[in-house]
Parts: sequence; structure tokens; C-alpha cells
Amino acid sequence: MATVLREAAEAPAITVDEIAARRLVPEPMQKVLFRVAGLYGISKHSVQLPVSATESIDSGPVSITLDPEADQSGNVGIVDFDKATLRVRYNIHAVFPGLHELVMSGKHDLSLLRPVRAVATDECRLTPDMKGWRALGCLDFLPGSIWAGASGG
Amino acid sequence: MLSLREGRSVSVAYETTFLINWPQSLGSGSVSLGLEGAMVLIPIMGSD
Repeated sequence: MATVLREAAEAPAITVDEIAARRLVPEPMQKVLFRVAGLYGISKHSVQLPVSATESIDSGPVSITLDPEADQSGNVGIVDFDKATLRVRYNIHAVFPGLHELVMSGKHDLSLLRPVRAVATDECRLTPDMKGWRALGCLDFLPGSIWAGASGG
Repeated sequence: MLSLREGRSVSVAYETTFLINWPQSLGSGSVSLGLEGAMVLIPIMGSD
């Protein structure tokens, strides 16, 4: 036993630098709290959107981003790699070209151009390759736009 | 997504379909709106 210890002391298999480098390697985590720092989404198809109980418009190609007016701390989520689940909540700001055309036609008030804001909450299951997820979510339009009070998922 | 486990930010594809229900003042009914894009996620903290 004493011989073995002496040999180890004379010819160490590793260096202090190697040990320090090992400490810098992050431990894989099973649950991660994250912030949604960026988002864009574009619709490929126009849909019919109501502007009153009897009138509707073509939306045009809808685009969304994170809501710049919302508290950014509200764009958060948590992923559980053991259970392959993810829950995320984020504030969106949507642009509808159809609304712009409607207002420019002169038949409706400029207030229709107020930003359309909504909150999305998604319950997701990670794909087997861990590169994406499939979501079942909820969407609630916030006050201030023509579609305030609408909701869905 | 695995980058998040190692404390690194990640960009993921974003593809979703929202089914929007309209209130009675907008004639009720519903519409499906599909969106495609990307989302950037930054890890805040993790646990085992």
C-alpha cells in the first residue's frame, strides 16, 4: 500500500490545471428556468377577422414579435428534461396588414391601428430529439385593441 | 434545447396554430391562425 502511494506521488496522472478545467465544465441540469429573449412568427395564409358583429376583413400576412410594452420578466418558461415537458408564457405584439388597409380606406377610425397585444401560455412536450416541442396552449387578447376579449388556444 | 442544460442560449423553430374565439360583440365564431418563426431562449437558472 505504501509503495503505491509513493509511486502516485512521484508520477501524478493528472495536473492541477486539469482538475481546475474539470470544475469549469457545467453540470447538465434536469430542470431549467429560461427567459424568452426573442420571438418572431409569420402567418403564411390570410384569415378572415371580424371588425364588428357583421363585418370582417382579410388579415393579410400576420406577423408577431415579443410585446415591447410588456414587462419582459413575464416572458419565462421552465423545461423539465426528465419528463420531456416544457411550459412557457410570453407576451406577443401582432401586426395585421388588413387593419392598415381598412383604416387607409377611410371608412374606419384610426384607433383600429392600436397594437394588438396578447398573452400566450403553452404546455408542451419535447420532441424525442430534444430539438423542439409540440404545444397545447392558450391565448388571451389584452385590452386596448379591436380584438380585446377574444381568447383561445 | 439541450444547450439550455449546459447554460447556453438557444434558438428554436417556432410553429404554432392558435384557435381564436371571438366575443359576441364580434359576431362570435372562431378562426385558426397558423404562425411559423423562431424563438430565442436564455437560461436563467437550473437544478438537478
